[in-house]
Amino acid sequence: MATIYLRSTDGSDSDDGSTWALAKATLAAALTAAGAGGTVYMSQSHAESTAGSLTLTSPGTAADPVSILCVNDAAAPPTALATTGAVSTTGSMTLTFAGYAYYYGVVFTGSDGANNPTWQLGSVNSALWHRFDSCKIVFGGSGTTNAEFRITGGGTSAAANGTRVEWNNTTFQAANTAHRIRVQNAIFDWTNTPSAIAGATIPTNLFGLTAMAGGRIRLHGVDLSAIGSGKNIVDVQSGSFDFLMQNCKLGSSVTIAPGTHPGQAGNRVRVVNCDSADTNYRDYEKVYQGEIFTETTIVRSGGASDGTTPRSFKMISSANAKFVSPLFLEYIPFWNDTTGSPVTVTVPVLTDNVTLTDAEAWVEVEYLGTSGFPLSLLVSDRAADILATPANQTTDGSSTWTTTGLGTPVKQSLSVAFTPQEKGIVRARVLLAKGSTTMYVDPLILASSGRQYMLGESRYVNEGVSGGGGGNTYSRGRLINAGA
Amino acid sequence: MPIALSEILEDRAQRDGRRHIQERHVDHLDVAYFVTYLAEAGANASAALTPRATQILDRLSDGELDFYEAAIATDTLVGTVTLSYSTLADLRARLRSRFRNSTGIEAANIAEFLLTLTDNQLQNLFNLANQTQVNQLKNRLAAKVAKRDAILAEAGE
Repeated sequence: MATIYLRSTDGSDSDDGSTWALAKATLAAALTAAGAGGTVYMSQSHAESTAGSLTLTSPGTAADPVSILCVNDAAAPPTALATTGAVSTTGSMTLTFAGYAYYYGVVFTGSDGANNPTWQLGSVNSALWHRFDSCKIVFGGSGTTNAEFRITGGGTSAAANGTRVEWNNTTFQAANTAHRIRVQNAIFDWTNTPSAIAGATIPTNLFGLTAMAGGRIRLHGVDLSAIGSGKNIVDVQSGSFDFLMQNCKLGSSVTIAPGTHPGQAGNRVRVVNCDSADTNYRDYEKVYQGEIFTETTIVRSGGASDGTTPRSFKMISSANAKFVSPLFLEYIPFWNDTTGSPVTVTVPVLTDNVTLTDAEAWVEVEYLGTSGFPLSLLVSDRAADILATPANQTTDGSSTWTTTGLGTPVKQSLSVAFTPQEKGIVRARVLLAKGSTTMYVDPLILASSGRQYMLGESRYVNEGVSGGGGGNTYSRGRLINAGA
Repeated sequence: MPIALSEILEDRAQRDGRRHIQERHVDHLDVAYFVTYLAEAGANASAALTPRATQILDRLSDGELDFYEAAIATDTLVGTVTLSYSTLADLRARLRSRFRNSTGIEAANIAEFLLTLTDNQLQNLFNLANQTQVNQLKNRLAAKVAKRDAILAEAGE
């Protein structure tokens, strides 16, 4: 473990890097000298350039990663961080990162001119963890052959830890609309980044997901507003990824996830509270069985709302939804105090000229039905089994919906009763098994237990109790003040 | 292989004036693709159809090439290469590019595929000057495949 100084302007790789005067000239040499757990201080004036491919192998380990910090070189040891250190390559090249490392304040530029920039982090044979903090990832060359920021995992070694890349306050700049981020059997987290897409060239597909690969992608607090009309966030046509964007800024008219899912194990794309406008309710989900949107026109009177904007969920099943593999809404949880007596959960739904049977749409509830243990039971109003004769779901004669644009509104309710044995969270979800069908769902679950509901993550609902006194205050899905 | 049909299935206004748009595109194999997005209030949804169709084709081509490139590189290809949205020339170029940085078993797997190409195709792909160079290349490719096969033939005891 060593502290190594790095400055290309006057450094030399033949020096030991122990002071600014004896600084190394290249990052590769500095990494080697630092050793596992070491620190590289990169001068704010550092600007190295390599013709052709460059490999930056960190000797760090999971327990002792190497830290590469861009700093103000006015002091030794440095007392202030900087964000202007630069590492560039020219020509058609592959910029390869390996090992365990933390980078702060470095501008990485891959390739130049019309050349092909390929970035490679991790491989199927070795683990990698890299965190980029306040860095810039710049595609310098406009070539399109294998031109992507590629994160590869899927270790074949029994000791492999997989691959994880984190970007925090780190921007991405393309030089061609075909440039993208590709994740293969790895984890990618992108957080806290204003104006995340730099430069004038906007990628057509920001994320490309690879066939025969899976992984997890998370974006929180990322400003993707530069990606707008005619552009796409993630291509879902291959891979098996869990993709989540939450609290991000989108561009106007952007398409989140075009493409056709390959199957039930294909990508799950979820968007929670992301929008190009001043809203707090826009959610979206896409899976093989269909898509789910936030809907603000076709809503139920007195139904779910954040206090200002009434809302429903619009479930659009694809042709692939079926009894054994339906489209499902995420679980809607609520607190239940009742034990030993029946509780009924009812979900109002609406279609346009489609009368749904209990083999086509139903509500499923997970409740604490085992006395003395937090062991849940599952109950639903679905048809008994796949061979059972379906029956129409109950007609809803009491709800009033805004039905603008619907020719023949059909109001029904999905309802199931159960007897909890323990107090605690009850979770309900709606499933749509009829293919190529649009169903509007009011997520204001009506429960006879007296407690109302809250939705997970960032979804708002109107609180209120159907019986008893007091009031409950809900904030972003959490119960923070239970009334009497 | 253009998209045969592009149309708007739904254009439904939301409370704030923006619109849920659902597009439907059908390719030359009669496969339908649905794209949904939230458009701004005054956006021209029809104008977005043509560039979207181009994107869909590009994506289908990329996906197809990704699949076969990965299958050949990992020696997991079952059956023959059947391309609906791209060409064999596209696939050859992809594999040539990947081969440049390949190592180990992957290099041998790609070499095995390259040996199925004609001399003319190899000469063009590798920018070789004459048949002599092509023969030398084929010998190197065959040697990689032979080394791989020798390792794969090893067994424990």
